[in-house]
Formats: sequence, structure tokens, C-alpha cells
Amino acid sequence: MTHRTRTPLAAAAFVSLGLLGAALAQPAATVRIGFFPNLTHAPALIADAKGYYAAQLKGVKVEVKTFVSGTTLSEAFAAGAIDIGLIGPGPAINAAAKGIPVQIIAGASEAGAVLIVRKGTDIAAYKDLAGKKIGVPSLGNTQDISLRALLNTNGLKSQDSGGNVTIMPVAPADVAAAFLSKQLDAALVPEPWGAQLEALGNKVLGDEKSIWRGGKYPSAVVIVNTKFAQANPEIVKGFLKAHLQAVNFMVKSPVAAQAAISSELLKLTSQKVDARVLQRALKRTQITSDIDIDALKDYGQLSLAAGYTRTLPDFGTLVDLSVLKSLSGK
Amino acid sequence: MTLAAAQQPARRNLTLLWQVLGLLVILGLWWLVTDVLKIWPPYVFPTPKAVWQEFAYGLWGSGPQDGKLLSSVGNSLRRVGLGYLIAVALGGGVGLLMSLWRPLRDTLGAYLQGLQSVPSIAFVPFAILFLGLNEKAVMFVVIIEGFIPVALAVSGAMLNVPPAWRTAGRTLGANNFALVTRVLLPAALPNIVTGLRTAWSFSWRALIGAELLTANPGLGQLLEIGRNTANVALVVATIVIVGVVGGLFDLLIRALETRLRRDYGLEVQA
Amino acid sequence: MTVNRTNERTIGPAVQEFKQTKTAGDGPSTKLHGVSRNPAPTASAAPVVPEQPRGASLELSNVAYHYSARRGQRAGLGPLSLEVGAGEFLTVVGPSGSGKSTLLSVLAGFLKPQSGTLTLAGQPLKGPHPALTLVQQEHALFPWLTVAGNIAFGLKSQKLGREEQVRRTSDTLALVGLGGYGERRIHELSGGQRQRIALARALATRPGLLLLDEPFSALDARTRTEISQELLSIWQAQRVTVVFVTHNLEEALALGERVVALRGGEVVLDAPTREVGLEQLRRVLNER
Repeated sequence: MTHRTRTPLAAAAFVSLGLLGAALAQPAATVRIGFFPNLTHAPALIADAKGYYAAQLKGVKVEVKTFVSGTTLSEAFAAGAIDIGLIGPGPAINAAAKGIPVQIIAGASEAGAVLIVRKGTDIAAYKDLAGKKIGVPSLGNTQDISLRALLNTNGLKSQDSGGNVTIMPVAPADVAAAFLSKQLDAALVPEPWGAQLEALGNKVLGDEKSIWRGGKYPSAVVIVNTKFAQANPEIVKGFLKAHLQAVNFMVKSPVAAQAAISSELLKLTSQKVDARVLQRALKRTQITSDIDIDALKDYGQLSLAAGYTRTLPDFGTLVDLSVLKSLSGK
Repeated sequence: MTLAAAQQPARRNLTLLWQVLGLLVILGLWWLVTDVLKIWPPYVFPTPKAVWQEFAYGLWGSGPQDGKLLSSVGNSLRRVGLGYLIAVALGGGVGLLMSLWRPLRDTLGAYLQGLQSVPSIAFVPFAILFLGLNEKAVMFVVIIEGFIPVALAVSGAMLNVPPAWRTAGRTLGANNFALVTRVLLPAALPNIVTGLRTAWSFSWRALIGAELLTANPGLGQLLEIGRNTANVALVVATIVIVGVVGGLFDLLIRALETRLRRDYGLEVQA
Repeated sequence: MTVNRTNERTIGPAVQEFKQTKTAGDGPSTKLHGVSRNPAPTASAAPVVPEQPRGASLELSNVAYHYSARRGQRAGLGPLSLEVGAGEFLTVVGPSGSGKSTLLSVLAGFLKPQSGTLTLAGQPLKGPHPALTLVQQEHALFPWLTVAGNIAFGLKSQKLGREEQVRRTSDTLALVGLGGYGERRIHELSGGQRQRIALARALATRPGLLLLDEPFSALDARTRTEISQELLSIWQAQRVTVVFVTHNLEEALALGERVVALRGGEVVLDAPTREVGLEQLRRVLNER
């Protein structure tokens, strides 16, 4: 029995946290899982579509909640409304830096973000981005931080750092409209939005590999509420089993996995993603449970440099892959 | 009368004392529940010190996102200032026409009354579709939120001018134009200023809401960054600034209002 | 200018004269009018001949105004014919619902009579007229202006020069005994002072006809007597035509030269006040 709500949690949810903290000490009968209807969250999309969560978590009620941004998911974590979730590394690091009890227990995907420029612009290279308006899903998120890194390595700066590139928060779903009305010149978006925008005639300036680290960077990771993990090791284990099952399914039978993702996206967003678009998007996204800790640390440094955080968490305690390793036998 | 005048400064001092005491109590309670009792974790409810630190970073910090507080406040003030002025000019004109021409009042006036109950944030998607994701959309929301209360206040205040003043104006030879400019408008002024105050708070709130969408530094954007980076202290610090700036301007208009009311011999509202 | 200063000088003794008569006629107020109606003391006491009568004559013939049935309760007027001579002081009395207010509104030009004609100084009267000012029951002074600003209001409408405005304002203030009050705010004045300013504001425009709508009804008895006497002396000096509407019969007999009693929108009595007694007035108005 799964129950779905899209919950951009308001500040009011803060209040409930104090009470929830005490409740979490008991082994839970319910696990609340959060993720986005994005390709970078494909393992969750597959696991939910194929019923892996329910199968691996027998006797536990599974509640699935979808979010539109790392911000809302991170707020839900802070409020104690989510136990396990898939989230971009940026918000995960920020949350840990602020003392929110999160732990990264697995990877979910790598790469899967592209820099798209509006058709009809004269942008042919990164340096042409000078003076342009570039959209990111939200300020301080994973794409925002990668974009700032990209600009830096090309000798450019954003407006709020004294440069001339304007970084605007635009929901990926709104980018197409913003391109049409020429409000934006480019956007760094996660898949499948990149492939969708490309299908509309806009072009890819930087693909998933050229943006950063040759494509070896995490786009989504699995986080768990630390207290929940301590009280419910079996649930965490069950979740990771389902997660690995989904990743394997993706690797072994990509066509069937794509069909599962497509139907799940349709169910969650009421939007049918074109099969060719989905295929192209999946090609740019590496579904994996591995996690490159060095890339994670680099993210932290970039976030620090962008001024979105002042302190970095201890990555040794933030990332705990012991359960994952025991399950995958590595 | 002289007795009352002598009492006034004393009463003002007393009010000030109470206000300072109230502030201290709030700060004390805040400190108690966060630093001492730790009812909520700091990432949910920040300590006074953490919030103060955000102020410090915003004012004189040296990090990449630091030192922007004043420019953020300045940007927000610039937007709301311009938007508010346009709203007042537009609302004044439309309100005047509504008060003078009944068909307009019965149609537009009724719609405006309805529109006023629509929260500003509801206009934002429309503004974005219509004007794009830019500062114009923000201005649109600020203007529409300020315009409506001004138009309604001007129209209402003009219509509520006591008939004795109209009669006096006409019997003293004022033609229609002079009746409006020399009698009705000045007579309506105290109530119009009350409307201006409402319009200010509507515009200010609308601005902060709409600014969450803009790329330029502003208070709304500070809130959004605080939220995106799980920095509740920054959120709270921004809320404090939004409240203080809004309150200060409100105080300014209120002072004008009080003065007008005193000159007009009207009861002074506390 | 000469004329104005003359007026002030002639008023001085005139006021004193009335103050004396007031103490003399303290009993039945009807005694007061005997003196007030006689302009002789002013003329003879003053060395300078006052300005020739400025007052305008007023003529109403078959004037009627009736409210439509929807606005039912208000009293209609007429048809009614009435002549008021130039410089005459006419009081109009009547209970509420007698058509007093309607008559005033018609005279002031705020209501257009459905039939009949009005003339002021021989000219047809249609709508508000510069030679005619109304002083209302409540003072209706403009609080956003100073005392001087209020008085100058009508002068600005007449497009008088700045200097002339200033001079007339201070002259008129002196006339009502409030010289030096020009920069005061309205709310700083007492009730009597406010009504004096209202009177001054109306007089400053030098109207041919002054309409007074129970102007002193909100004042206490003593202030009322004082200000009534001032009104009389001003009238005596300036000879403006006055139509004074009141429901106070004693006041009507004491102030006016002639009294008109209205009932049901019709004139039931029209006679010189010296020929009318209070009892008679009560009787025709069916007041006990």
C-alpha cells in the first residue's frame, strides 16, 4: 500500500519535529521515502514502479512522497517528515553542514545534467556566456554549484559575485517557456529536461561529461535520517536491497527499465515523456549505487566557494557505505 | 489642554519603555527556548546568536555571499519605492474618477474590492506568463497590490466627505473643479493617507513574495537562498529585516497621518 | 478701502449700544428687537456715513419644490411667493417639516425649483450665485486651512488679488472681533469663535444676500446672545440683506425686522416683528 503526496513542506512543519524526535527512537512501522520525478532519481522510480520497496520491506508500511526540489525535500528531512530519500549532493552536504541528522548511504546516479542554450542565441562556447542569463533549478542546488564551477574555470563570474552572468532560479519545467519568451539564454538542467529541451530545437552546449570531472560526479545520492537508521537497521537494509535491485534491473534490462521509468513518470507527473527523449536522457545519466567521495568533497568545496555554506561536514561520518558494501559483496 | 500637552512626552516615554521591555522579553524567551532549553534543534529554530551572525555576515562578512545585506535591502527598497509611487499615482487617479463617476464606481470599484481579497502571490504566475521572469513581473505585482487599496481609499474618502463641506465650498463660489481640488481632496486627505498606509504594507508584502523569483539580490532572494541552503538563521534574519523596514515605513506614514488628524481636529488613533 | 475702515469704526459704538440694550431688555427677549431694528443710532452716532446699502433684493414668485414619493418624509415647499427688500433682515420660522430647509436649499441654488421664478437684485437666480452666501448650522469650516485660509477661500473663488485677499481677511476678522486669529487652526477655536469665523467667511465675499441656517443653534445661551448682537451690528453697518432661518421663535422676533412663519411648505404669517407677539407666533404655528 503506497500513498503519495506532493508536499512542499511549509515552515509550519518545523514545529512537529520536537515531538517526532522522541517517536523515532522506537522501531518504526512505517517508512517514508522521498524523491523527485527526475531521471537522476531513476532507481527510486524503478523500485516504486516494480514494487521492490514493498517486496523488500515486508511488514512495514511504505509511504512514498515526491518533491519538486532538493530544498523542499531537505526541509521535510529537517522536519522529520521523511526517513529515507534521494537528493542531490548539494542539498545533502548543506543539510549535514547545518546539523540536520542525515547520512549518505549509497549513490543513485552520476552525470545526467546538461547545459542547454536557447536556439537562436550566439552562444557557441562557454566564454560566450558572458552577459547572459542562465537558469538553474534553484539557487544553491547541485546544478547551481556545478554552473558556478563551470563559469569559474572559464574565467566568468555570476552577477552576485561581481561578474556579468545572471544566474536565475527557474523550475526545469518552466525553462521551455522562458526560452520561448527569451527570458533565459541558457539553463543547466537535470535529465530528462535536457533531452526534452533539446527535442524542442535548443542545443546542448555542454554535455554531461564536459560540464565537470568528465561525467564522474554524483547527481543523486541516498540519504537517511541518522536516528532512523540507528533505530531501524533492518528497514535501511531492506531499502538498500530494493535500491540495488533497481540499479541492477537498469543495467541488465535497460529497455524494460525505461518502460518502468516512463510509466512511473506518467503516474507521478501526468506527463508522457517521449521514448526517444527518455532514451537520450538515460544515455547521459549513469545509474549506479557507487559514489565517488572525492567528487562529493569537491562539491563541498564548490559550495563553500559559492558562499552557500560556511562549514563542511565531516565526510567520514556523513558517508557510510558499510551496509551497501555488505549487500553488494564488494 | 496645557495639562494634556504636558502629559504627552511623559506618556511617549512610557510607551517607549514598554516597547523596549517587550523586545527584551521576546529576546529573552527566544534565548531561553533555543540556547537553554533547546526545545528545537538549531536547524529548525536558530539561536539569537546564529541570527546575529547572519546579520554580521550580511553587513561586513568577506565570504562570496557576504556583505550583500545592504545592497539587498537597497534593491528591495528601490523596487518597492518605484512600484509604490506608480501605484499611488495610478490608484489616486482611478480612485478620483471612481468617486466622481458612478458607473465606474459600480463596475471597476466592485471588481477591485474582489481583487483586493486575492493574495498577491496568486498574481505571480500570471505576471510571469504575461511579462516574463524578470523585474517587470515583480513590479507588476507590487503595483497591483498597492494600486487597489489606494484607489478604494481615495474613492471612499471622497464620497465620505461631509456634505456640509461641499455645501460650504459651493456657496463660497467654488466651481466643480475647485470643489474637487480645494474641498473634496483636502477633506479626504486623512482617510486617503490611511489608505496609503494599507497600500504600503500590501506592496511590501507583495514585493517580498515576488522577489523570491528574481535573480537580482533582494530580500526575497535572501529568504530563498536561506531556504535552499538549509540556513534557517538567514531566513530568520531576513524576516527580521523585512519586518523592521516595513514597520519603519509604516511608522513614517503613521506619523504623517497623526499629524494630519491633529491639524484636522480629528480624534488621534493610537 | 475707505468704506471698510468706516464700517469698523461705526461698529464699535454700535456694539456697545447693543450691549447696553441687552442688559436693559434681559426679560422677554422680544424687547431686544425694538432697538435692533432701528438703524438710527449707528448712522447718527458715527461721524462717517456708512456705505450705502449693499443688500440685494430677493423675489420669489410661485416657487415650488416637492420631493418625489420615494424620498417621502422630507417636506416640500410652495407654491410660495415672497419679497425681501434690499438690506432687510428677515427671519423665517417654522417647526421641523415646515419646508424651512427646502426653502434654504432653493434660495442657495442647491435645489432647482420645479416651478416659479427667483430673482436676486432683479436678475433671475439659477444655481449658486456669487452674491449669495450660506452659513450653515454647523460651522463647516475647513480644518485643513487656517482661520485666514478659510476666510480667503471665497475670495480666491472670486479671483481677487493677493493683497486684496489679505486685507479683506484681516478686516473681516476684526469685524467679528477675532483680529489676530488668522494663523490659528480651526480645532483650536471655541464653538462661538468657530461660528464667528463661519460668519466672517461668508461676509468676506461681500454678499448681497446672507442666508443663515440656524447658525447659532449649537451654541450655549450666552455665546448665542453675544454673537447675535454682533450679527445685528454688522448687519446694521453693512446693510446686507439677511434671511435667517431658525426654529427658535424668541430669536426670530428679537433679531428680525420681519418674520415669516412657514407651515406645511406655506407661509402662514408674514409681518414686521414689532407687530407680532410670541403667543401669536406660537398659535399660527400650532405650537403650544
